[in-house]
Amino acid sequence: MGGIPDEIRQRAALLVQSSSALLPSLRCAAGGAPQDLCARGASADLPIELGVVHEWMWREARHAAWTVPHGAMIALCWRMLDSVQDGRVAWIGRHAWPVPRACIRRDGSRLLLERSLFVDPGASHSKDERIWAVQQSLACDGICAVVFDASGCSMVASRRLQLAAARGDGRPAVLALAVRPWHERLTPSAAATRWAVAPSSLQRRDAGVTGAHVLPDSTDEGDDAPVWIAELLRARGALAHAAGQCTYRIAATWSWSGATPCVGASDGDFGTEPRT
Amino acid sequence: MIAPSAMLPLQRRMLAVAFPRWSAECARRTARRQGVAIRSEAAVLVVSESHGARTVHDCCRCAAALGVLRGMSLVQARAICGSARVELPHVPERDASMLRACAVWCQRFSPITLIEPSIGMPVVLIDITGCDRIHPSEPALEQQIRRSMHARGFTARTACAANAAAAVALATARRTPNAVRTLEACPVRSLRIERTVIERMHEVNIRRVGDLLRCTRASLASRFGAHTLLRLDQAFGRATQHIEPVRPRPLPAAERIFDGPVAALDVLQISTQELVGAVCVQLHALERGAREIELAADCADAPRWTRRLVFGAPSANARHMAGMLAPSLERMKAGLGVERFRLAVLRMGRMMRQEAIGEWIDTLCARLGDDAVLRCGLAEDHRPRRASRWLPVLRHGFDSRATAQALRARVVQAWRPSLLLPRAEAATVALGSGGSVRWRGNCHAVRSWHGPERITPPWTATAALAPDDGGDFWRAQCDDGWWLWLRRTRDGWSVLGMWS
Repeated sequence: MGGIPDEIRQRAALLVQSSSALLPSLRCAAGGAPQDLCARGASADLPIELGVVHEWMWREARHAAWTVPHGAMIALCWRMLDSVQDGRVAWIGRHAWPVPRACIRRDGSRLLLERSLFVDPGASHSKDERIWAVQQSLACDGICAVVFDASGCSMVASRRLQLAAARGDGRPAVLALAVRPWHERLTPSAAATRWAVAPSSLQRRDAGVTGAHVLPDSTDEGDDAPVWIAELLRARGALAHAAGQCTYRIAATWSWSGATPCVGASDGDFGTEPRT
Repeated sequence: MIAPSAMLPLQRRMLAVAFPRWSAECARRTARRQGVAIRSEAAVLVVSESHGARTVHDCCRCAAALGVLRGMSLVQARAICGSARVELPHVPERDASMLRACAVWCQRFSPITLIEPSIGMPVVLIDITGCDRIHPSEPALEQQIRRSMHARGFTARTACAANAAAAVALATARRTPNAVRTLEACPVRSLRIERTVIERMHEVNIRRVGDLLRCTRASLASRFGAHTLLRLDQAFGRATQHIEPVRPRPLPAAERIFDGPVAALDVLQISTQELVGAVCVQLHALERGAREIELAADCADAPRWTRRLVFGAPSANARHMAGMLAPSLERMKAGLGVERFRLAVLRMGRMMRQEAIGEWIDTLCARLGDDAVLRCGLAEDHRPRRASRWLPVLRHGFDSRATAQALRARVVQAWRPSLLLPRAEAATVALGSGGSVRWRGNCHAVRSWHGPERITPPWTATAALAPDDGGDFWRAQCDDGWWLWLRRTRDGWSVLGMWS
C-alpha cells in the first residue's frame, strides 16, 4: 500500500546526511527542491545561504539598549566581498552600523569601508520607512550584502523582505543579514535562519566542550582575543532538532575562524526552538 | 588718484603647454580605463596604418629610450622593444577630443584657452594676461600645470612668453624647463613650419631661429615662402595672431513652449518625459550622465516654478529621471497653467559602472532626505568617537577616488571596540587580580586587564564639547567571554564600548 511517501523518504535521507553535513538542510528561498544550507553560499565561501534573510541577535539580559553582533556581520560581509567582483554593502539603520575602525582588516585593507554605504532612515521616520529602505536595497542589483536593523519587524514585513531577497533568476544573489534584539527571539518571522551570538566563556573553552568551539591552535593572540559562539537557533523548513554552532574570533580585525558548525550540538541553556 | 603705473595697458602673457608624447599617453590612458593592464615599464607603441604599411605614430618614453622613433616601421620597432611592448591603435579623433578636454580643463587657470592648430606637437595655450593677482609667479604656475598633467599621466612642457607663437616655440623646444631661454636658440621646427620647408632650411644649414634672423626678409620670403616670414614675425610680436578660444560645450537642455497655459497633470507629465528623453539623448551622445538637473516652468498668474534634483551618480536613464521628477509635478502650483517648460542639466559626470547604485541612492534620498545615505570617512584621531565621520553621498559623491581619499587617514594601531555605546554607562569596578566589573546589573569576573591607555583630548577641545573623550582606558577580559572597553576618570569608572 503506497509505502513510505516520497517526502518522508527524502527527509529521512536528509536526516542521515545531516549527521555528517556541516549545516542542516534547508529549502531554497524560491521554494524549490531541498538543498543544503550552504549550497548557494558555498561558492561565496560563506557558511550561510545567499538570497534569503538570516536573523542575528546578541544573547543578552533584557536591557533598554540592545546589542548587535557586529563581529559576525563584518566577518560575513568580508567573506562576501572576497567572493564577488563588484557590489556594495548597505548598512541600514544606525543601530546596525558598525564602528568603522572595526571594518579594517589586519593587513590594512579598507575594501569593506570603501564598498559600504550607510542608510539612516532618521529618527523622525517610522519603522515602515526602514523596512521600505531595506526592501529597496535587497532589490538593487548593485548591492551584494545588506545588513539591516530589523527590530520590530512583523511577520508580514519579514515575508516581504524575504521575497525581495530572493530576487529573480539570473540576478546576483544577495547576502541579507537582519539584526534584532534578543527579546524578539520568539517573534514569528519568515527569515530562513535565526542565529544567536554570545561571548565564548573561558571556562567552556578551557573545558574543551566538544563541538561547540573550534579554535585554530596557532594564532597570534592565543586566548588574548575575543571569541564568540554563533548558534543556529532556528532554520525554516529544516528538520526538527537541527541546530548548529560555529565559532569565530577577533584578532586585530574580524574573521571567521573556519570553524565548522556541528549539527545537534547545541547547549542546553540555549535550547533549540521549534521550527516555524 | 590712480597711480600712473595702474593706467598702463596690460602686458600680454601667454602660457603654452606642449605635450611631446600625447598620442601614446592618450592611448595608454584609454586602455587603462578599459581595463587593460599596462605595466609601467612596458613600451607603448601607437600604431597607424596607411596604404597597408604599419608604422609607429608615437611611442612612450620607455620605447623612445630603447631607440624607437616616430615613423619607424612596426616590424623594426618590435625588434627593438622585444616582448615587453604594448601595441595600441592610433585614433586621431580621440586625441583631438582629449586635447579639447584638456583645454577646457585648463580654464581653471584662465578663462581664455586655445588649441594651437598648426602642425607638430599638440599645444594648449593659456592666456594668463592680467592673472598675476591670482597666479603671482609664472614659474610656480608652470610647475603646477606640469604636476597636474603628470598626475593625469601626461608629460608636459611649459613656457611663458609675450605672444602665442613665441610661447609655443619655447615650449616645444624645451626639453627641460630652463634648457632654452631665448627664441633665437630655438630650432626652426619650433616655429611650426611645414616639414618640407624645414628640410629645405636644413639643406642650407639654417637650423635655429637665430639663423633665420641673419637672412634678409626678401630672401626668406622668396626661398621659404611668406608663411615662414609670417611665423617669424608672429614669434617676435611684429604680426598679430588670431586667437580662437576654446569654449566649453553647452550643457544639455530641452525646452517645450505650449500654445497656451496647460494645467492638466497628465499633459505636464508627458511633456516632462519628452524633455527628459531629449536631454538623455544629448547625454548619451556626450557619453556623460547628469549629476544635477533643473526643471523650470513659467506659469501663468503664478511665480516661476523650479525643481532641482541632485543624483547620487551620473545618470542618463530617462525612466529614472522622469520617475524622480513625477512627484514634484503633482505638488506644483502652476496658477492658471504652465506656458513653458525647460529642463536643463546643471552638472554632468562620467558614467559609472554602478548605475543601479546611483538610482538606489536617489530613490532613498528622495523619500528619506538628502542626508539619508552616507559613506564613511576616517580621521587621524585617537579618540574612537572622532576617528570617523559620516559624509552624505549626495554632496560628497561615492566614486572610488573620493572614497579612497576619505579613507586615506592612518588609523591608530591599538585595540578599539566594535561597539561604542551611545553614552558612557557607569560601572563599579574592582581592579586587579580577581577583579570584577558590575555593569547593567551583572557582575563579570575579570580574568585579565589590558591597559591603561591614556587618551587625552587635544588642547583645542573643551570639556563641554568632548565629555567622554579623555581618560585612562582599559580592556577587560571577563571569564564569561565578554570584552569590555572601560574608562577611568576622576568621576569613577564607566563602560564605553564592547567587542560584540
